Amino acid sequence: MMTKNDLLKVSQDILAASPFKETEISVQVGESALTRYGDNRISQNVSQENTSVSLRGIVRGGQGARTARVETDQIDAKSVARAYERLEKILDVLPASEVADLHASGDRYVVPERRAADVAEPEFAAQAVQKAVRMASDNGFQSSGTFSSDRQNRVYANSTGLQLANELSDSEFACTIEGSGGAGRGFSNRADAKELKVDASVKRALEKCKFSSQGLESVTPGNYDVVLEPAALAEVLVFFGWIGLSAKGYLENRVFCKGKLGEKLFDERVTLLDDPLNPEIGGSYFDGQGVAKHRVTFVQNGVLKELANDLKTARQLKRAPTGHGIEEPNASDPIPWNIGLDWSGDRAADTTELVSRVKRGILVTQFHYTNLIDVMIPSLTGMTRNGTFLIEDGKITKPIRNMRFMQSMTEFFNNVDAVSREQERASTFFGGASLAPSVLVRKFHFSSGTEF
Amino acid sequence: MFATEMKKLALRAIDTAKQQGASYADIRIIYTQHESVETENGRVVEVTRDESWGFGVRVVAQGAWGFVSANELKPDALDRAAAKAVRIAKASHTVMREPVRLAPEPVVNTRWQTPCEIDPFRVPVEAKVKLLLDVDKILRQKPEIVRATGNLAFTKERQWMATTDGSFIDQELLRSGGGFTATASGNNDTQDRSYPAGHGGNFRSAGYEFINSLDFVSHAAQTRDEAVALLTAEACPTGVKDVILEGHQLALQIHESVGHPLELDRVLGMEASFAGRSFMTTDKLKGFEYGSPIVNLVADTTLPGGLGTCGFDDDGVAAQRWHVVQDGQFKAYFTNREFAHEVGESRSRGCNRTWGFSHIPIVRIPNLGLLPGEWKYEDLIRDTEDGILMATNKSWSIDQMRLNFQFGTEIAWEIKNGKLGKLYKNPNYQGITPEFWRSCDAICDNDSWMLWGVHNCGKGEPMQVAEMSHANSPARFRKVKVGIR
Repeated sequence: MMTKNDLLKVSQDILAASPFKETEISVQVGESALTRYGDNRISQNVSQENTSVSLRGIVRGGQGARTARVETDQIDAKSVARAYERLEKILDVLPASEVADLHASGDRYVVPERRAADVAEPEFAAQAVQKAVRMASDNGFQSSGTFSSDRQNRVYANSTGLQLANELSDSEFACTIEGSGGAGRGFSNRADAKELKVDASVKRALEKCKFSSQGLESVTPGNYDVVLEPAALAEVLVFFGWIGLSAKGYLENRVFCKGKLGEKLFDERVTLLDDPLNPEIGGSYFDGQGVAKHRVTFVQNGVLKELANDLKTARQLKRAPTGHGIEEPNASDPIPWNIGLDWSGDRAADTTELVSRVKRGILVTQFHYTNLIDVMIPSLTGMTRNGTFLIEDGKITKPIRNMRFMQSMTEFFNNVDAVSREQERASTFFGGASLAPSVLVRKFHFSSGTEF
Repeated sequence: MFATEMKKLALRAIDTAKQQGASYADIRIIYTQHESVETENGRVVEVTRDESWGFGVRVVAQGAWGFVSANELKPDALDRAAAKAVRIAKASHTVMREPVRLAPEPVVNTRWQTPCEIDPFRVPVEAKVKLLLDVDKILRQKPEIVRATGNLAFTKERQWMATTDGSFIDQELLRSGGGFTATASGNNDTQDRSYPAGHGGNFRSAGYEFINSLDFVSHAAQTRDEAVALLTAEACPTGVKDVILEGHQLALQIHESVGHPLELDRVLGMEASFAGRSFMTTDKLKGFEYGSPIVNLVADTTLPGGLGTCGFDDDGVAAQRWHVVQDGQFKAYFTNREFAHEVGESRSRGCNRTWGFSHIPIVRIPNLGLLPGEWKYEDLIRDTEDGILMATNKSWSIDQMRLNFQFGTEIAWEIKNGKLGKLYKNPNYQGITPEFWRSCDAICDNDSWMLWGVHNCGKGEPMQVAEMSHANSPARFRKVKVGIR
């Protein structure tokens, strides 16, 4: 795989080959490996190499400005020249519109350093999977999941002289164990696949499966106090970032918080933030518009302080860009994909201590297929999965059948009652990830049940 | 000339794999062109013409799978990839239950191409931009419309596939589609209305003639006016009602509650950790009432215009048509060459598909349609005493066994004593899959039967996107929970 320095050099050549006075490029090379298992066997085992070159040109003339972008996955000079030719042809026929200047941070080279690990070898991944398969089958259960690792080098550069480079790695081990009606899940995320907590993840999945396979009971849908483990909370947090914090949506009056910047929306102990520079999150150092990312606090002590801004919305709102921009030109909302929850109230040590504070409630391991109901409330629905348990008198007493939730997020963030100190990075169903604790939330609404 | 060169490269890769110890190998070399045009509030926000080249080589060695993809089309890169795929397969072998068994398939050397009247890549960009801006102008004629978006997208995929069985298949697949959305704001609310469907519009395996047939401009005013009307509409009532589902929403209902549950890899537990399993366990082949006796669901990868229509799947299996539900009874799964034998079938149904060159083929939903019934649409409305007509999918959620589902639609109308009545906003309904399909008591006839494309079906890890169509005509379902709060 091309090194970061090689990629910087190639990017300079690509930028120099541009026929436009104003050009913006993004070049990425990477490799990834994913070993997938199901029914106690490796079912897929893949290695992928990827390259992408994204070119944007701006033409200004008497009739106004025009801009467009093209992509290719070939990095050689001939292919890049062909891509520039396609871009010229598009720009020749586009109508003029308002096109802002390219982002210029004043830094010619901003190349943050973060250690990137190699992609795991297939034999190493297979050994990890073997542990899950063996422990599941020894207990008469089925295991499934993935061992994945990824390494990406990316450069953003534009004709103002701005050049940014990233070298990132990520890995995940996920294990679901099922059988006799029960299910459990464990997972671990690290920058380096060698540091994944495989044994602990398998053990956690197995313990939950063993307990929940002792016979599921149904509970009546309604409002319950819930303890959400990190994977479940991450679904709520990432969805909230997606549908609730877009500055573009704010300007177009199509987010729940329209006109409420500076107002108290949630419990004063709730702070919601995006901290991509936290090594445990492992996010990119810059966005698609060349804006350096930084820690952004969206909600501080319950008050809406900030929105996810790209360059355009930041200009419109007279605020600083927050590093959530998508490559221009686009019609998309700027979205923070890594919302985290900070809590200024008392903290429980862990999930067990949160459970001890519940008289009668439900422990949720994970949510499945969460989706939006009403953007203006905003409200979500989704199903529980992989271990849902009844809590009685501070103890987990029975495994229960899965339930569908219907929940206003405003009420959710007003009903958080306690948060654990322990937190984990959890990835979510539709993409994104959060460094999330476990939480105790009062009056969480379940609307129906299912058969398993 | 080009095909000859691609064949040479393809055969070299699978020969290398064999030399390295593969008992089976195949390769897909794919060249993709993609063009999209997008407008928002009177300006062109995206015009792009992208190209990609690459290959994915898949092998069976020591009875297990390995796969490598890359986008460097050079002989030494192909050799490296093939050798690496064999090494990966050998690692897979260490956690294998039984060797991969591929259902036999005739050897073919052929070419197949999506029928097309107007090549969308030859239609000038200016014409596409003008169409969307004309629609945009109409949508923004009312002040409540805070956002008007329109999009057109076209993908042409040329594939060269070679297998160690001796097949070489040259296919060119073409997809075209688009749509537009008006977002209205007011009355402390915001509402979307889309044409011809939500989530980017409708798509077909066809050329620009499909875009022409959609007649965007004629539908813009009604779409705009419905978005505005929704701002002051009553909320969908809570209760139990008869529900009539129209095209795009019924397509999603078919997709989520029939399509995914019948993917055999999912039934066998291969998707368990991520997308989930299926309530349609293999014992149900002995007999299972999936729906009422009028429900006939047919898979058909030969269907003209279907997004899943092709000559051959990514196992090299020819396109087919078969009943998955006949007269309400479950009949068959979606299979590939690897899993067909698990349900006693001697040949794959041809459902193995991959997203571009870079992913491994997995079992996907093919085109899956609800066959038309005998009702005229007007008669169905007239026959409904206390119901709700729901149209255009907005949101969806379903459990990992595909039983408990909940859908939201953009718009609904009351049906009272056989007449369409007031508008409802934020409609939704919830049910359990077999109970729901068993409650289907009326399906409209061929006059309102049309294809609805799903162009964003996500499945697998790494995530892959596939396209398929769900043809249907409006259908009625009795006693459905609506207005879930």
